[in-house]
Amino acid sequence: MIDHRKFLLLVVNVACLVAAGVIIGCASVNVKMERLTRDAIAASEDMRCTLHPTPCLSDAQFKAVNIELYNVAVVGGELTKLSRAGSVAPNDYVRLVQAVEKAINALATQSFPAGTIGKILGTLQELDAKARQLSGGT
Amino acid sequence: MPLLDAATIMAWVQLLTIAEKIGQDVVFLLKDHAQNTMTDETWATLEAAWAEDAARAKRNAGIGDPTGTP
Repeated sequence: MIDHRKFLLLVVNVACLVAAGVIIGCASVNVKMERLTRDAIAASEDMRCTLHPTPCLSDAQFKAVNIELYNVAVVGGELTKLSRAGSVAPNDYVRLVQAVEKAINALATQSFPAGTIGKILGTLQELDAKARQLSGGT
Repeated sequence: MPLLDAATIMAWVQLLTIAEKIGQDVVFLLKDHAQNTMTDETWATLEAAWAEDAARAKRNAGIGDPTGTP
């Protein structure tokens, strides 16, 4: 038999959690994309051979990854300025999608040691998904 | 019975994760509203953070630095 009090408490709890999720999401719609880029940069630094035991990113690979992340950060910054001015259109986010895709492709085509780029790739894929949603794509 | 056992904590973490995802989906549907809730100060902080990210990645990549020193 269902305990109605417990059921009601569960419903209230879930409602509160969803509300908390909405608040967290609202606060982070623009901020989160920047944090993902920052996470990707930090992940590349963590995997650098000078700091990390093998497998790790050589100096050349580290630089190659960061060139792509630099491009992503520049486009992200430009979009933020447009967004702040209220003149950003969904199509503008296509540029971010393209920059992130280029970074993902660059990571995918180079022969990095296994296990070195998982976190970098993961954050970029999440960023890609968010940029696509903002661009009106899928 | 303990107030919070491991299974309960895990269930809460999962619920929070799901709720956060739902929250994000709602945000994307209401993105104009989300942008309107950003204050000038928040925007300025965000712009500075992007600039910091770009500078850090640029430094790491050795762009514009002939020695390539990160």
